[in-house]
Amino acid sequence: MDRMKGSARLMIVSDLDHTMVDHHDPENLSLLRFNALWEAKYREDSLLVFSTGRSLTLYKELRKEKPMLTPDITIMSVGTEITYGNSMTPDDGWVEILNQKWDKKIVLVEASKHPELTLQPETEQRPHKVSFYIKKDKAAEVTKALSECFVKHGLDVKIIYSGGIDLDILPQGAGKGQALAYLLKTLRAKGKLPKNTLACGDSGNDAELFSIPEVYGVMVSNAQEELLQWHAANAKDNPNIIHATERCAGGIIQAIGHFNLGPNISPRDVTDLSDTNLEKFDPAYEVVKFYLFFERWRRAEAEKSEIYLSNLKAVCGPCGFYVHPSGFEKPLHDCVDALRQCYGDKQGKHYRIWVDQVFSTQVSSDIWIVRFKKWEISGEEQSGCLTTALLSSKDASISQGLTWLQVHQTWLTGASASDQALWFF
Amino acid sequence: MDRLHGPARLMIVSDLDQTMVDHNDCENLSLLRFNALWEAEYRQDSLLVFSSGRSFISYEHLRDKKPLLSPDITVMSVGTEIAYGESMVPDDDWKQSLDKNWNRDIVLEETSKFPELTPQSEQSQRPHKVSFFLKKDEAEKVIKAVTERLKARGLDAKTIYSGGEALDVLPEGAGKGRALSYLLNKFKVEGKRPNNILVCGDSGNDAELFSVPEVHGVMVSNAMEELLQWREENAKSNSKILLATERGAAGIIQAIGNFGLGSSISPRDRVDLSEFGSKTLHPDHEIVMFYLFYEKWRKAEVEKTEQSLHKLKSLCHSMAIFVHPSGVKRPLKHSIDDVVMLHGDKKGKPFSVWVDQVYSAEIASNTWLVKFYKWELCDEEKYCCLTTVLLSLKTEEPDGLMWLHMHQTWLEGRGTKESSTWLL
Repeated sequence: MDRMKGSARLMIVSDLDHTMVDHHDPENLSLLRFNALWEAKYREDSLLVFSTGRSLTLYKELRKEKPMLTPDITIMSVGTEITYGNSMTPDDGWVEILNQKWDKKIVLVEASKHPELTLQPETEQRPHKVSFYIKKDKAAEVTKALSECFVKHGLDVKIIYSGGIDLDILPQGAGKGQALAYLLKTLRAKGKLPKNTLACGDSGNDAELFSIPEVYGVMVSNAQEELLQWHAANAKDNPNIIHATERCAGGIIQAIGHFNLGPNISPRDVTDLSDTNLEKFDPAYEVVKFYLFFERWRRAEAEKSEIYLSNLKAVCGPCGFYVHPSGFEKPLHDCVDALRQCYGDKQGKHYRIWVDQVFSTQVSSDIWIVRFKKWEISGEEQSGCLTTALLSSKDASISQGLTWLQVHQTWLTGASASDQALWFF
Repeated sequence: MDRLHGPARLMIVSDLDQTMVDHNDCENLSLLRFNALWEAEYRQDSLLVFSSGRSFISYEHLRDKKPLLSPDITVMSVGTEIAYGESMVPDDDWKQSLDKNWNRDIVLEETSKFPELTPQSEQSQRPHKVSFFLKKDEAEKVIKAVTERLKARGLDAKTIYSGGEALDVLPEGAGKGRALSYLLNKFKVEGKRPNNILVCGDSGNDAELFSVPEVHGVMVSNAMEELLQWREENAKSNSKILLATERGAAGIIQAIGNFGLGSSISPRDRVDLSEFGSKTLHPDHEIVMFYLFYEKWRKAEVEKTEQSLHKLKSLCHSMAIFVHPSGVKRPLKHSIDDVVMLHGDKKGKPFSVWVDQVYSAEIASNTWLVKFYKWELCDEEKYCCLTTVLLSLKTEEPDGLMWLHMHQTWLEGRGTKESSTWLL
């Protein structure tokens, strides 16, 4: 959070399952489109917040399966846990608020009196969240009974029914919307209120997000009935909330465009990347662009043209070198030559590349250090490297003078590829 | 050899056992002194060549145990195998030239007739080298007889007796001296003959090296009788050959100084190690000095003073990032703080740090990208990271070089899971 000195240009607060992540899209195309757009155009000056009903364990599981970016802030367990940064530092202020008029023991005891409620697995039970499964037809009845009961105990609790099966019991102060409101308040107090905030969701527990004033909202095209109903009943005339016509992350991109929050053409939507004419040298864009090209090359979705290779060579410094994550180095020119061998080697296979947390620092008038995580998903295996690239641009005018001086990679902890030799860069 | 665009300023061709590597020096002090000197002053524009009787496998074993630098050229198996660079690309032309009038089977046949000859291990036998153990007192007689026999069979072969016990049978065109001449010829053809050449040895099979015209030579103080005798008989008045008064690699450093071949003060010999960060330091020097200081700091061989603390803390830019080989990114100053805290944690323990293949390039005005292998030897464990560092000249006080960015990757097989023990 302290990463940015001023206010974020845009803050996106998005639900994960069926919003950012489309479980019906095995290729994860929308998510990858969003990723490329975010890293190329927003990462440096905007905030990405994931707000999920999942607990930490399930969140980590999802991260292993899907090509997700690393958010700046993670709100988990239906808004009961707010954590910051890569180290996921918890927000203690939020914990204190949630402790008000909450007693987990009482909740468990009372809930156990209802046989229709089945306790969810241990990993889903958190300090301020008690979760059950219950069938749709019994939900309303049990919710009412429990609410009355908790009031009698002097607790201030809320019960959220979601996805047609999940029942979460939380402190009244909790919930995705409350957490967002708290976050906005905290940011405002530091003088860092984002210029724009966009909330994105698909189901019941996202409704709260859309109730925060001054926040734009998008309900993805595949939003659940319960959310659309809520919208019809509560926010029908709010022009700041739209129902997208595209699924999941595609809907988020759509909303960015609709509300004019910034660029909304993902680099993945650009067919000929070599055609782009940038006004100003944009190192992050160069990195996103390169890896997009590399993915298309291996999937034979780009033409096997020598021109691409000679263009690439032209932007590699003559002494440019690459440090492979297994600790050997080779000249960048050799890396480009090696591309010939891997053309189309992933054609028809499950293979995607994305970059995450792309940050660039200008160290002198010509030199930029770009640091990012480079991920590959090949079949079922995800592997990733912390990468540093050194770029120089003698000229602010685009690729005239853009030079890659060095690329250095180190395996991310626990993310090394099983066959290191197959990792190109 | 394409690394250098012009002639090397200095080419050192050194034997390994008991020359570059003093097996009596278990802390490898001389070798580490040489390493620091080479990386700080010579790596960028000079050539390092190891010329050993060992086979490649045996050479790798030696590398495993000793803090050896990576040479530019390796000449193994008594000058019968030449390989270039880190990836050890073999010189096939050289191999082919050794086939002339050479027949390994005939050699085996003839030598088997001598009971005084005991074959060395399988590892030591190579395509152009047949090796035996032979007692000193029987040597002269046997060598004479074998030579005659092989000649009679029409072979162009020679024998080299070394170390007071080893006999190698090689093609006539082989040997350390011949291999060196071959290399020098290649350089000459490319217009890249080194400005100065220094050969270094200690035993019989090094003798040839000293016969190569126009080279300087050093026989280390622990040189064997057989080599000293050779000198007596063949090169007594050659002023270009020094009999060092120091052992091993220290003798090599001595020779560099003696012949005026360049700087001969190893960074390890400097008293004030906290020189890093100084404006007058070239980036390569900066790296060598820093890691020297780091080693001494952890062994409490430098004191924790106001001055040295200040030096450490002002080393890096406040926003500098370090990618640690375990795959996490952190502010470089945090790692420096860790170093500060671990003053003396290796006191009294075997702990050596050295850098290898330090290369720097000025990528922008006053900004350098330096790449090198950083090694640590702790007890018997060796660890290594390929490291890149971005340095620039500070614009404000204190003057000097500032570290802007650092990234390390484990060399395959040389990493450790205990990332906390590897600071930077």
